[in-house]
Amino acid sequence: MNKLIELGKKHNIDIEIFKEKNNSTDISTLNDKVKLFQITNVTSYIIKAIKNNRCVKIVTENINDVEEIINTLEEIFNTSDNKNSNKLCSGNVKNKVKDYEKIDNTKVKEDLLSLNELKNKYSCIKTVEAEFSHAEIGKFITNELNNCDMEDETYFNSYGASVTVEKNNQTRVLYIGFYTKEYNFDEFKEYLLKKLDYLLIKLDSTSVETKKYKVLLANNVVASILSTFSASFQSKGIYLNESVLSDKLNKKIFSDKITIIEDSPNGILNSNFDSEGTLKKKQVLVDKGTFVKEINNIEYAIKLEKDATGNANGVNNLYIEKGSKTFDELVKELNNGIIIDEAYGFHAGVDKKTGNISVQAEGLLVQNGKITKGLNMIILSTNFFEVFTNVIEVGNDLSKFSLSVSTPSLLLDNITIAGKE
Amino acid sequence: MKKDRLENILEAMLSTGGDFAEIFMENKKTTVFNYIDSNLDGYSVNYSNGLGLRLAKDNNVYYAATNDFSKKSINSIINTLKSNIKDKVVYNYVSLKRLKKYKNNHKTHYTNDDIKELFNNLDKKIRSKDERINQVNLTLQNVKQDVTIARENGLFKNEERERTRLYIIISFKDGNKACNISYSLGKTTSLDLLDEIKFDEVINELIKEGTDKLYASTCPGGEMPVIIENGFGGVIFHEACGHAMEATSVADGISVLSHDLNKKIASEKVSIIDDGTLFDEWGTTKIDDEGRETKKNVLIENGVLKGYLIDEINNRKLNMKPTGSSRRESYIYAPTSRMNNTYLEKGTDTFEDMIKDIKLGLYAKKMGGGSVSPETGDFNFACDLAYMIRDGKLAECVKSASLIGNCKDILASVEMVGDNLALGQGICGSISGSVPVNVGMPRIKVSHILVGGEKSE
Repeated sequence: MNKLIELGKKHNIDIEIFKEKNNSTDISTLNDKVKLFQITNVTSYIIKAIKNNRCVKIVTENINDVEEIINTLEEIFNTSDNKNSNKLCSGNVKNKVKDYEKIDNTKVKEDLLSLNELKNKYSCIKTVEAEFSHAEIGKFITNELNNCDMEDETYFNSYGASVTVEKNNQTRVLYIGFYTKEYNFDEFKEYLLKKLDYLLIKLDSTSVETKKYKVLLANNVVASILSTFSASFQSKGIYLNESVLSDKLNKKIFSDKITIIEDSPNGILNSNFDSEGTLKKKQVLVDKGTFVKEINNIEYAIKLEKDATGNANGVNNLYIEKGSKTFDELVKELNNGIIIDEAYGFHAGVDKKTGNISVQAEGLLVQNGKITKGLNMIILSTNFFEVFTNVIEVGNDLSKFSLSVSTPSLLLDNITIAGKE
Repeated sequence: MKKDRLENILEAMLSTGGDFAEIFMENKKTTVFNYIDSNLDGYSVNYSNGLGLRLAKDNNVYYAATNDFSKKSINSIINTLKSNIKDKVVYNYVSLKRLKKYKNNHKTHYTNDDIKELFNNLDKKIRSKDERINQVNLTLQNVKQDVTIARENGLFKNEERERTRLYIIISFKDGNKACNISYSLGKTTSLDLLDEIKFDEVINELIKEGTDKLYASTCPGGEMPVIIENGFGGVIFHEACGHAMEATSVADGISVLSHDLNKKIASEKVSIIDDGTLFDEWGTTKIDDEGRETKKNVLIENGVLKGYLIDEINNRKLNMKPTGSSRRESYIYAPTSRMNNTYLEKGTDTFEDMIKDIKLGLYAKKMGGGSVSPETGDFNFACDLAYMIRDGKLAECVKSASLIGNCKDILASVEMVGDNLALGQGICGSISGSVPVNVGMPRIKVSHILVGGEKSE
C-alpha cells in the first residue's frame, strides 16, 4: 500500500486507502441433505485520491499494479467534472475483536438439518431449505498522514429458511431471514416456528375487497419499507431532488409516535467509522415525526456546510424507537382488520421519488380480536408517508429481519388493501 | 495462472474422492459515466479479479471464492474444501485440453471527451423541451469481463465479454406532483452502442410519457383484463414461468412446474424460448459459466412444457443434458441454471382487436421489475407507466399499478399475442447473484390479472 501512496506523491496526488477484508462461511441445506458449503475470502480497496483540491475514487480488488491505478486516477481526474472537495482521514481509532466467535460447522449442519424434523410434527410440510452464514469483517484506513491509523473489526451471523407447505392443492411458502451477533440457532428456530403457525393458517386463504382497512404491519414488513427508503435520508439525493425527502428537512413528515435513529456503533453490524474514516455516533434522524437530520459523506458535508455523519456507505443500524405493546396486544387492539405479515417485490413496486408503494402481500384476517383466516393474492397499496403517519400504535418487537434496519410492528389506520373479491 | 498450476489445483481438489472439480477465474473492469445536474458528476473505474473453486461429490457441492492468488491461500482453501469428502479417489490426474478462446472483437470510436460532449448536448436538448423537467440523469456503464474455466474433464476455455448499457432518467416536477420516467438500452457490445440509439425519438417519447405520468390518476384495484406492451413487458414470463423452469428449483422438486414436462401448461398461443446465442443481445454469452456453449432452448411450445434450463450439477439430479444456461454474477458465486434472453414468440393479433371488447381494463405500457415464488408460482410486477382502458378505448394515465397472479393461471389466460416482438434489458437476481438478462415479447392481452390500486370501481 505504501508503494501506491509514494507513487501518488510523485504525481502530486494525495492517496488514502480503505481496505476491507470479508471472510465468511456459508452452509445451506435442503430437507435432510447439505446442499452447499462455501467459504469466501475477499479483500477490496477504495482508493481515494485528492489532487488540486479535487477528489476521485476507484474501487479495486487488487493494488499490485500501482502504475495502472495511478494512470486510471489521472484519467478520472481528466474526465470527471465533479468539483468534489474532500480531505484525508486523520483519525486514530482501533477497535479490534478480541476473540472471534468460533463456529462449529458440524453443529451448524446438525442444527440446520434438524429443521427437517419439523415434517414429523407438521405433515403438510413438503420441503425445508435452510441456510447459515458467519461473516467476519475487518476495515483499515491508511494514508500519508502519520497520525492516521484506523482499524475496525466486526462479525455477525445470519440465518435463512424457506418452508413449503401443501394441503388440498394449496401451496404456501414461508421465507425468513434473521440476524444475530452471536450464534443463536434456538432464537432463530423460535422465530421460525412463530411464523410457521401463521403460514399454516394461510393454507386456507382468501382475498379481500379493495378498500381501506385498519392494518397491522408486522415488523419485517415495516423493515422492508424503511430499508427501501433508507437512502432517502442521504444529503446527496435530497440535494439532487431525487429523494422522497427533498424539501422536507425540519418539517413534520410522520406521526408523533415515530422516532428514527441511526446508531452504527451499536448495531449487529457494529461499525465505528465509514470508508472515509468519519467517526460514527448515535444520531436521531426523525424526532417525534419531524425530519431533523440528513446523513451524508464528506463531499456533501462540505458542499452543504454540514457535519459529516459517517454514512459514506449508507446506514448500519437504522431503527424506529419501539413502543410498549406486544404483537399479540396489537392484534387485540386491531380487533377487526388485516395483519400484513409478508410483502414482496419492494425492488419494483415502490416509487422512491413519490413514496408510492404497491406490493404483493400476504396476511391474516382478524375479526373481534382473533385471527380467523389467511389472506393471499392481495396488494398493499400505500405511501411511505402514509405508513408512518397513520400510526395508531407502535409495537415493542424490533425486527431482526435485516442486518442494517430494524423496526417494530405498526398498527395503522386507513390503509388500502387491493384484492380480488 | 499457467496450465500446469491449474492442473495441480484440480488434482489437489480431487484427492479425497471428489468427482467434479472446476476453477473459474475472472478479471473484470467496470467503467461508469454518471451525468447529473448538468455535469459529469461521476466517472468511475472498478476492478475485480478473483477465483472460484468448485468441488462436488455426487450432488453435494463445496465452493470457495477468493481474490488472494497466493499458493498458501489457495492450498488452505483446497484443504478446507476437500476435507468435506472422504471417498475412493476417482481422478488421479487431470490433463487440460488446449485453451479454447472466444474473443471479443468489439472496438469503439468513442473517447471520454466524445461522451461528455454527447451528454452535455443531450442534457441541454432534454431540458429545453419542457420547463417541468427538474433533473436529467444519464448513466453509461461498460463492463469488460474475462473468464477462464478449467474442469477435471479437461475442459479449458476462455471468453472475453463486453457489455454496455445506457440509462436515461428524466425527473418532472409541478407543484407537489413529481415523477421519473426512464429509458434504457443494453447490449453485449462496446460504447458504440450509442450509435444505435435514435435520441430525438427516444427523448420525444419520454417527454410525452413523463407529462402523462406527472398528472396520473389513482389506479382502481381489482381483477381486470390487461394489455401488456412489448419489450420489457416480457418480464411477466420471466417471473411467471422462467424461474420455475430453472433446474435449480426443478431438480429438487420445489418448482411449481417440476412435474409438468410435456404437459399442456399454457394457452396454445404461448411459445417461450430462451436463447443465449442472439447476436450482441444483453443476455448473450458464447459460453456459459461452466464453459458450455450457449444455445437456443425451447421451453414452451404451443402451450406444452418442452424443457428446463439445466446446469452441470442439476444434470446429475435430473439426468437431462445441460443447456448452456449456467450463470453467475462473479467468482463470488457458485453457478446454477439461469435465463439468458427469454422471450415469447410473436403471434398475429392487432392492438385494435385486443382493446375493442374491454369495458374496464388496464394497458400496461411500460413495466418495472418483479419477483416470483418458484414454489407456488405466485408472482408480482410493477407497471412503470399504465393507462386505463374504458369502453374499448385508452383513457387516463394511472399511477402505482402493480400486477400479481399465479404462473399457471396467467399462462392459461393469454388470449391474444401481437406481432411486434421486442426485447428489454434487465438484471435478474437469484442464488448465483445478479446477471444481465433480456426479457421479451410482443404485445399480449391477458383475460384477467389482479391489479393493485387505491380504490375499487
